[in-house]
Amino acid sequence: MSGKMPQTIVIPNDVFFASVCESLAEGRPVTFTVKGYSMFPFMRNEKDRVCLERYDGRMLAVGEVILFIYHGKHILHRIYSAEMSPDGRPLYRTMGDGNVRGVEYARPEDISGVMLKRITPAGNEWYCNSVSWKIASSLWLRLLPVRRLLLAVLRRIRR
Amino acid sequence: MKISSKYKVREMAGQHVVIIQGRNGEDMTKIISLNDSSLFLWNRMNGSEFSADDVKSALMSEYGIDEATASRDAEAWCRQLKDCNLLA
Repeated sequence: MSGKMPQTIVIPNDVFFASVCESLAEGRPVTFTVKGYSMFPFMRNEKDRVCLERYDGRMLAVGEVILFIYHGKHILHRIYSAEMSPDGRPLYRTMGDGNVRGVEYARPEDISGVMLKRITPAGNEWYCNSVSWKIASSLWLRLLPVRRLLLAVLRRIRR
Repeated sequence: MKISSKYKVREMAGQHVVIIQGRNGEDMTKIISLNDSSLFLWNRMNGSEFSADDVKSALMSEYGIDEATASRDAEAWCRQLKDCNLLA
């Protein structure tokens, strides 16, 4: 232990998420700060933290936020739709809340974690199984056609 | 004192770190980086009961430093373990 004051260290993404996935796989929930704008307005870059738990293989619902690997990259995005493959396994289509286009696909084996809650810098927690989160999520999905406009407004008032 | 068994050292980006566990599981926003001597002490003391005297002896035999310096470092190390809530 160095006697230094707390400082921020930046760890390469792949190294960081390898560690996150290792903890999740061992059954320990993990909390980390969100980086990037793709989940705005629900999660703000370098402000909000997310708490995830291990994905246990259950059927996931539209609106749930998952951590998964897509084309070799770790992504934390929301499920927009779920369909069944001919082999009977689900295929989830995901998109970032702050994105207006661009979708990803996740099979159960690509998923390592499911979001439990969001924690603001002030420590306020918003659980993903709460009614308010579900309503807000569902509303955000439905407003996709006007999302570009909403994002433009929200980026000004909610930083 | 004893290092809590829920913590383990892992290597991340070339650094040896301990990730703090709280009510939200492993908090990746709070990690403690161990330098070489701290890592040595961690590996030596982890898993058993130890006192500041044990730490002092370990430091003296490993680094060949005098007793006064070792004693001061040992106490500082133990205090930091306590401050970081790493003790069982």
